[in-house]
Amino acid sequence: MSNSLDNKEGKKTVEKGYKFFSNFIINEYIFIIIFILIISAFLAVQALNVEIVQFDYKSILPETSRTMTQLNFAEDNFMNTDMVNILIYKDEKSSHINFYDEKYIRFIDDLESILLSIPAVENVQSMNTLIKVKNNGSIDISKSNFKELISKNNEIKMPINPLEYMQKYVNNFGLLNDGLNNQYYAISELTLISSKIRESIEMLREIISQLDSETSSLISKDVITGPNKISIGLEIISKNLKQISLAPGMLPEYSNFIVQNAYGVDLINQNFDLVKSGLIESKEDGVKLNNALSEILNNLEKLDEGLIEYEYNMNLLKEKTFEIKNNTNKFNLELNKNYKMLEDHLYFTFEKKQFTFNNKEEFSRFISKDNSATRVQITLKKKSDFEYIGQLISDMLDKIDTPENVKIILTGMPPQATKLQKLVPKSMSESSSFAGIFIVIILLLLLHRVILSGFTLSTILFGTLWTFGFLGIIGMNLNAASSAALSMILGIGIDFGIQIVSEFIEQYFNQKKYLEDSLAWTVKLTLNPILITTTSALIGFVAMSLANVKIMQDMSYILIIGIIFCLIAAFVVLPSLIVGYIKVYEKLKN
Amino acid sequence: MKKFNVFLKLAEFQYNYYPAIILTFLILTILFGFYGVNMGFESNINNEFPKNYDVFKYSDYITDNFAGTEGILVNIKIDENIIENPINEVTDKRVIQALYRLDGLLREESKIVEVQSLALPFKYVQLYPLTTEVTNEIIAKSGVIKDVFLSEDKSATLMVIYPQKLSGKETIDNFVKLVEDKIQRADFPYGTSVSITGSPVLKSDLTTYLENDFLTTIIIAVVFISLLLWIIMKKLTKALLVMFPLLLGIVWFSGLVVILGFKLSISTVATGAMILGLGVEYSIFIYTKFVHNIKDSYEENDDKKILDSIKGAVGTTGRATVGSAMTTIAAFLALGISEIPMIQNLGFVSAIGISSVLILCIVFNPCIFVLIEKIKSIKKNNRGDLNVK
Repeated sequence: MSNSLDNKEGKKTVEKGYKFFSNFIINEYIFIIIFILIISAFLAVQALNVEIVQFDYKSILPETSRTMTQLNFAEDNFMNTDMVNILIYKDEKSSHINFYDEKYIRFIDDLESILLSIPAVENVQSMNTLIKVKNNGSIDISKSNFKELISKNNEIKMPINPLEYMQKYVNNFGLLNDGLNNQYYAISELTLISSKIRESIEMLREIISQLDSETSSLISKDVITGPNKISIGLEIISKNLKQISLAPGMLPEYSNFIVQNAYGVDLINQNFDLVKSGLIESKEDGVKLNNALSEILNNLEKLDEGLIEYEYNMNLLKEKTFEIKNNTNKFNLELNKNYKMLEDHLYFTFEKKQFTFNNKEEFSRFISKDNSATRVQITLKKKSDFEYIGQLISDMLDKIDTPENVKIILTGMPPQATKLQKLVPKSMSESSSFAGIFIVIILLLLLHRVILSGFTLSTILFGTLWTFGFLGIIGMNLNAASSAALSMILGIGIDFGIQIVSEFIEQYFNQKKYLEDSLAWTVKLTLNPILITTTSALIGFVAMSLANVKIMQDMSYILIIGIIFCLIAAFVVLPSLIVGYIKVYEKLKN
Repeated sequence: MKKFNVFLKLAEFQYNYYPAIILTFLILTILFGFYGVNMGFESNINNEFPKNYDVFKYSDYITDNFAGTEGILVNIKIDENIIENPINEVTDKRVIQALYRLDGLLREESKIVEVQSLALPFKYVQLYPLTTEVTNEIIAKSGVIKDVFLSEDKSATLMVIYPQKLSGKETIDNFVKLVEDKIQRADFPYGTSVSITGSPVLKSDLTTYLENDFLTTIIIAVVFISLLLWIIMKKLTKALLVMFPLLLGIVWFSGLVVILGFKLSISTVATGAMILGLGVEYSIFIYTKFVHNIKDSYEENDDKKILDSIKGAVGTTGRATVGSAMTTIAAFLALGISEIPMIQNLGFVSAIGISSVLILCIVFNPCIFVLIEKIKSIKKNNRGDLNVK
């Protein structure tokens, strides 16, 4: 047997590092084993914290996905979105069961009452719920009436058709639009009339001004001096005639005649006074007329100004009306278009189908196609723990008096998840036991050495123990799918042990090297290949962890941790156990 | 008496019939590839549950025999970012009117069995005109409807649509599209947001995730393992040569999964990446041993040298590699005894993948090495002839 670290050819030597590692294991193997046992005991305690958690759709999809975000929102705000069902079905003995029978309706009613007494139950729906809705709130219904109810459709007519309202609104808006159009034309007409009035006023003002100036010139003329002179002249004439009548030699008849004439002149003069006063009155009236005309002119001016302002305002109004008119025209077009759309969309909804309930279809939610089973749907309150409530419901179902020939079973996603949770440990232990048996057989076939095969298993025993301890420390739990990682770790991790033990057998037993040489060569020859293959395996697992499906992420994390711990166990625990075994082996041999 | 070594016999067979083996494996790869493109994805996790228990069996019975057993949920929420003319509560008459319209539009569809929402108590009420005060009063009297469909702070409301049984991604997607269209037509007021969720939608999403994850994880694994090999082997062609059987292995894996009637599910979708990670070990050992044998050989006859090298690689390393792979395959197959189909499938599918890669690494890839060495030998001889001339 060679006593150096050189191999047979003496060409290659192991580096100091491997030699140091070999010597360290050989010298400190007892300490290492004790240390590892203490660490393992601690991790074994931690491993007890690893729980099997429930598994459903919510534990599969990434929390960040839109659908999951919305589902979590619904769960946080409304209810547990997983439906729980109680299936009531005929047992094998009975040939046929008809759930139209009153006794089943009564039974479901009792069941509903019990379920609703559970605080975590938000709502219970069953065929009774529909019977109540369609039978004026009562479940008292004969079998024939029930059958009839299912065969016909319920129609609930709406008190007011919203389309009619919409139509009225559209019509009224059309009228408003027409009104605005009329207003616009009316304003245009009014403005035109106003300008014509103003033209007329202008003409009138000219006429009145002319009249005013003429009246002014007329009243400015002296109408009194002339008649006064005439009056004085007439007085003189009358006086002269009277003197002439008194003239000597005047015949009396002539004198009388002249006197009469003088009186006549007086009379004329008197009448002329009337003319005079008439003239004075006329002048006074002329002045009044003049004043009145001036006033008319002023008023006309004001009227003109008013009309100008009116026209300005009317023009503004016209502009605004024009704008409104345009907008309402556009809106009216849109409104008509939308109304058409609405009419298309809502016509069937509100006129024909909206409240026609297909009873048969609705009952098909709760009565099976062949009428042989019915279900009661339970909605749980938000954030409710089904594990506890499920047990509660199960206990209640056990106690309830079930009608003859029927069975009841609690199902739906929450009971399934609970059942699966219970099945996982059994599945894990079975599959890992089988994996262990397979591995032992393969080890014996490959290594042909019982004790060393047993030590090889330490790689996976400690590797998996540490993995579960570590999972316990970091608070990571297992679920139905990730539990499979245990068997996978066993299958993958054992390779490290096989490679190390195979190489050690080659170095120690076949090449007959010393223990320290064999161990150093074993580490040298296996470390790099194992590191490379482990790295590539880890790359594969890291790629797995990048999957969106959360379950794959969990499994890959467990595999990554498991493989790393198996690797550590292979290079720390296994060499220590081998050294311990060889020491005993050599002692016994010597 | 010389021990019969099946691996040595295999090596000799590979040396003698490498073109036929390569051709056969390539034809098989094309065949498996043809099947592999039809890879199915199982998004219904109920199919992954053990059916020998009543709770699982009767869950399927309910889905198959009753209508509307799964609800599509429509969340209607207030958008708090709206400042102008905001909607403060979902009991606002505009929201109720929209809910009511949506209820009606959905009921038009024969695929929909039932619709439940806050619109229910308004069925018997004059809806136009309606005031928010009246709305609040009606909702307050609605009892359980209010409790189920209205959030405590009145900032959100829920509508549950019970459709006929929806199976398959396309059916679910079409249904979701239909509901989205109805929501659009229901014309929810500005300031509200409407989103669809529920287990049928989750199933559809899951199928999309499964399809994406299958390819993404494989691509990532291929890229990074190739990089690792490139770094270790210092030559890209060598790295690709090691990767070659793994890539074909993925094609085989996909084809065999389809042929054997499996579907990729939540537990098996990323097994491709795992198979690559584990399988590279087999490929790298055989290749390294073959190259080592070729380089270290003192044999001058090229044919003899190739034969010896292939015998060393397949006969010894191949044997160890198969032994090592057997533990992995055995552990994976042990999962097959689980009564949970999800775990069973994971075990079987992983074992199929690892076995495919192992066969390709042990049987096919050494033939490629022989082919390459033969070509090199012919080239060398041709150069020798030229030099002589």
